[in-house]
Amino acid sequence: MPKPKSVAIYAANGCGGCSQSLLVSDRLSALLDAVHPVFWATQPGDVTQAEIEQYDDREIDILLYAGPVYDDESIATAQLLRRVAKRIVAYGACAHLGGLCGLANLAPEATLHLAPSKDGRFIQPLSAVIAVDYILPGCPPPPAMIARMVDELFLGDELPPAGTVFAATKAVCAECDRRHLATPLTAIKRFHATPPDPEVCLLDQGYICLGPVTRGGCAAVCPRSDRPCTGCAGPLAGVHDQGGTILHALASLVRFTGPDGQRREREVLDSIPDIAGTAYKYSVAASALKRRVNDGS
Amino acid sequence: MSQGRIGVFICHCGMNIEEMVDTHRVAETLKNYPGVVHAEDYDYMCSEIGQQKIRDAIVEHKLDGVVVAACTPSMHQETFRNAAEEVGLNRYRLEVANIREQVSWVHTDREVATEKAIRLTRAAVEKVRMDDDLTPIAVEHATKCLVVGGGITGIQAAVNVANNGYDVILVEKNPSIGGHMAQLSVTFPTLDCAQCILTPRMVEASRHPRIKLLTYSEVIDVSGYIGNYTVKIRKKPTYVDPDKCNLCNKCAEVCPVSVSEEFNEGLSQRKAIYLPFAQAIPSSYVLDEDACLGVKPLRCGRCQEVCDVGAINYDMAPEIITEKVGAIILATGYDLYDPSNLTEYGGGKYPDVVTSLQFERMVHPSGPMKGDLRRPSDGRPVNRIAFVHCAGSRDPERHKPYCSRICCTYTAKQALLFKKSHSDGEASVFYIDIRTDGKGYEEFAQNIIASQRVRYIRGKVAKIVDEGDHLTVWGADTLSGERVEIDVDLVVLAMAVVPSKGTEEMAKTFHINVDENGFLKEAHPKLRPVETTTAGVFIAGMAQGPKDIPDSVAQGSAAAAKAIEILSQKELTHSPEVATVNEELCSGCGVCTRACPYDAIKVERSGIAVVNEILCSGCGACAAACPTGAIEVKNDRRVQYAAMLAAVLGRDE
Repeated sequence: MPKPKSVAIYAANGCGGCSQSLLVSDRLSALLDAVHPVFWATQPGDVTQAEIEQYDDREIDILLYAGPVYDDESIATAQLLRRVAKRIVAYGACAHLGGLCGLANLAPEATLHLAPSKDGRFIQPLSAVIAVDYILPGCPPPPAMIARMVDELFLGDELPPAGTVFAATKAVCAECDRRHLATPLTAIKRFHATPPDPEVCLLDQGYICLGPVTRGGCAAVCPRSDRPCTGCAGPLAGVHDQGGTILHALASLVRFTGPDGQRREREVLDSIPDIAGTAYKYSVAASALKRRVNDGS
Repeated sequence: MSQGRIGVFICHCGMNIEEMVDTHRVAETLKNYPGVVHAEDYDYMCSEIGQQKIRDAIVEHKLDGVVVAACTPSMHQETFRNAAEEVGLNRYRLEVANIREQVSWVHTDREVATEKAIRLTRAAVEKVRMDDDLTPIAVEHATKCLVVGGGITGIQAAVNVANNGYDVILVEKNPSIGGHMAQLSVTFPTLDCAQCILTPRMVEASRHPRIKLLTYSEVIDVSGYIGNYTVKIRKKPTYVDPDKCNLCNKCAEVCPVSVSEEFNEGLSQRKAIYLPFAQAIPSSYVLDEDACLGVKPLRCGRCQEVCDVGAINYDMAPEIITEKVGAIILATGYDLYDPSNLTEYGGGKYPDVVTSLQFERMVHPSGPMKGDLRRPSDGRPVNRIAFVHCAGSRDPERHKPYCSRICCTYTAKQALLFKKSHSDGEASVFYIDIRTDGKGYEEFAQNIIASQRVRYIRGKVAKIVDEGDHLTVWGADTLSGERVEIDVDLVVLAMAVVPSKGTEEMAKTFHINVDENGFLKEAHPKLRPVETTTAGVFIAGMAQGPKDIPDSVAQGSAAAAKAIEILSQKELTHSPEVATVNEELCSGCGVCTRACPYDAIKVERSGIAVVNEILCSGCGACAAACPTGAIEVKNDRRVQYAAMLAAVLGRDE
């Protein structure tokens, strides 16, 4: 495909952060200079299905899709957009993984305000309903990744290969310069109770940091600001389940010896508050868990 | 990668496999499996004929991979790999499918078992298909041996290794070698004097040109790996120069401090400066700085004033000695279970309820009573005595679940010693069962029981009451069903043996495991009894579990032989089936470094994890823990496991 000439932005049902991230990007003017903006819908209804149907098939060169899909209407809209766009970028964690909204999938269905789709009330990543060409991860996507997307997708001579994720291939830890401790992990810590040592690996200190299981490319901005990585950029290539992988890693990190070692290990692991919400903060909908299937208990 | 010339050999193992698996059908089925060019079954693949079949087929069919479906790979994988290597196949391209332990021995339906054997064998074919040629890793090594523990086991091991021409560092935490055996009166069943048979060995160890004796010393740090351990030993100051000390005892005479004497199990007092026991080696007084009024700063100084030969030096400092050793033998022995745990017997509370080791000292001619047995409380003679078996042993609810093995026989010995010196005395033994395993032990104990000079009562003692001038022992005779109440002057508790104090911490220092009772854990209970899961670290004697002197000595020699196996190698080879890190994926998160039980993987300054291949055992813990999939074990890669799983679970065509 030659250089794209047009772009459309469709922000489905997110928080608006993705649109803002593009608005404040230092590449926004370069993007708008390079291509014709067809539309920029910051919420559903800004562009209706009827309006989308007006476009020819594959008329829009690149579509940036932000937000999750969750009901028949959003699925239908996504399918329409797929028809009129040549290439689609899943923009931000919701489109990529279901995002924070995906945590709703763990709640009893009766408590949800989501409109039901024909399969029930739950959040899905965009790729679950239509083919997605590129992924821009993050909640919201960090400036460096947006810049990379604009440069490679809109300003380069050739389109990047399908499936490109505009993030690093290594985990966040590769960009974090905290040092490791040699001692085993014996307690889970929380920020409101104990402030972290600013130089030591947060995970080594007992703060649950998803850095090891999360794609880098963000310059480890959260750990560098004394905040643990919460995993917004999603799993690395070849990792099937981001949350399961960090739990697996934690199980390896927590170690006690002696006759009651196993019991104490279990106690520490059991002390992790809101395991699913911590390990799968953005990725429930794209994980092996996907959603609650049984409301009875 | 195999070019698709794989040979499959299915073993009958006599009827062990054949009875439950149709091995011929396995062979016929595998013949049609992709990549397999040859398959056959045979009675015993591990026999010379069986191995020759493998060698012949490799040559004839130009095999580039071999699967042997037989017993567990821990039995014969090496046998088959050696055979394959002889005719030029890389040994790491031979895999074993376990169709005995995991199939024939655990199934009862031949049809199902045969199907499972086919699937497991196919999985092994899938693994071999993606196995790479690997080369063992060569490692240079040190030729010294560290022996920890200077009891009879450690002495035996040290002398054996040294006599084979290798230097030994023998570390003992007490001021003298000799261990518990030096405390014993006589040994069962021959009744020879324990010291008379022990002290020549002690002298041999101390005089041996190849043995460096470090008493009053403890290993504080161990790093490295098989063949190349670096050990740090801390030698406490004795404040007495053993070369100058002439054992005149003047220092002890003037020393104002008295403390409980360890060698006599607290039945006597010693001074802060003392000779551990008459035949101590090194033969020298030592100053116990914990008991002394003060060395730094000096508070007393009387001992130095009276020392004619100037042997006492208050400026002596602890020494840290660093040694490089190729092999390590741990023989750290035992302690008795603390008798104060047995409150119903007044253990540790009633002075006339003593432990079996205290009794050894009481009847010892050079013990605190010079062999004249008397009650510790009032010094009156002992005419009535009760021995209580299983004091803390075989009591899983409240004490130790295991049998301490030596108590039945030494109690018979102790009862006999009592009757020899007190022919009119009354001796009663409370027992649960008589367990006198060991050559000549049963005859020895039965002689004593049959002589009827000692009253054996089958039953547990419920309670012991101190009545002042005597003790009342309450129990039951489970053979007659009657309650037993006897008055005695002295009770001897045959205390359970437990690992010596600090065994668990020491195990951590040496990166080895302890079992559920705290004894050092062997690599295999039958076939690797003196090895541990850490290569190059061996265990022997009571530290591994309760045992008598001959078994301890035998294990000392066994551990020495295993150590010499390492020390005598020109160079060591290490399996190349180790973990590797994909630098393109590794983010340096460090999770692997915690998962590794061998300290074999570190995140380097570059931010990439690096495997120390010599420390790595290929266990795969890091590969499983790695959050990014950057770590794989050579010839145990994820793609291989995926293919193996597909072969096991896949549908039949």
